[in-house]
Amino acid sequence: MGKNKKNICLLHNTIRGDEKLLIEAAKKFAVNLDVVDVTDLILRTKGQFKFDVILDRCLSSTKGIHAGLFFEGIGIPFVNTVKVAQICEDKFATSMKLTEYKVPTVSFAMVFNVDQAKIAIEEMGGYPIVIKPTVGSWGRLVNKINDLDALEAILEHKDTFAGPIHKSFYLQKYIEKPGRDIRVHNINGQVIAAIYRKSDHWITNTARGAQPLPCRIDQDLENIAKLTGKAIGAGILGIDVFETKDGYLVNEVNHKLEFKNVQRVTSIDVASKIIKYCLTCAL
Amino acid sequence: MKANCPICDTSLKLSADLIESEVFECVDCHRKIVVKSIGKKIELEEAPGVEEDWGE
Repeated sequence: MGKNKKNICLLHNTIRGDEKLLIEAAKKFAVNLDVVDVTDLILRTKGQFKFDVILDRCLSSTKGIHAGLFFEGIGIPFVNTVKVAQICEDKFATSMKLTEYKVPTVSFAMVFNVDQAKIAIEEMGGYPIVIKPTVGSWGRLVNKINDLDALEAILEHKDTFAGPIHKSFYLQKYIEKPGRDIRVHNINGQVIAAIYRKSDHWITNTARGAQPLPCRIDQDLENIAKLTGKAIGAGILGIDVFETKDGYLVNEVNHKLEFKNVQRVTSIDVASKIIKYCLTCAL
Repeated sequence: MKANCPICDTSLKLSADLIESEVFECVDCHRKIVVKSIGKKIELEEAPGVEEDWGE
């Protein structure tokens, strides 16, 4: 480790294109970057860790949060903070925080049985409705429910076969989109980049094949992304936004940006901005 | 760098900037492969499947 250089730990459990961009970006700064696989660590308070800041890039949200609890506990800054990660990791927690800060967001309900679900759906304007696991990414198990038959079938299957987390039913109003949604990046309160994610499918995750395209950040988009940042807390955030006739609505907030598509289509050096932010958090 | 796919045994020409824990796709069987170690000998393994808590 070099003298006077900050020691950043890039904590991961898989190296993807995003992590390689971060490794390259770090070379532009006077930092030592240690690339550490979280599964190689033993997190005991007796451990000696000489990092000034940890950048959490664990693909596993659970491992990332446990590592965060450890490193924050021994006084090493963790980016994003566990507080931010825990809000973003749970879609219901995100919805509650957005509501608290009056961020325009998609109507939602949490229910625990089919009878409650029927009432909630009626209150939310009827079918179609979207059901999502509170934890998860890349559109996994995100289902559009078009009628009562489908609702009963999906909830019965979850109740019978799924683990406890899937028996809390997080429902969202289905929003008709113009064949795309928007991913906005907010780093430490600054709205730095946005892309459209264009798809013929109603699920518009790039992990599911949506095409990333550059998106101009207008004032309303910047405002809603900044307000979302205030609601969730300072950090590196990927905010998913729907366009509706009544304005923008925040759908979800992600705490571990997959930014390589954004960097590619906008030419904005997101990786360097992430490293720079880490330096502002370092000891 | 050269190594064989741990699944289909195809001889793979590996990118020089490959690093440990990096995932890539076999050109032949298209399965995801992870680099376990790079030393005198390169060790490759089939990449683990997507877990419930993986992602952003």
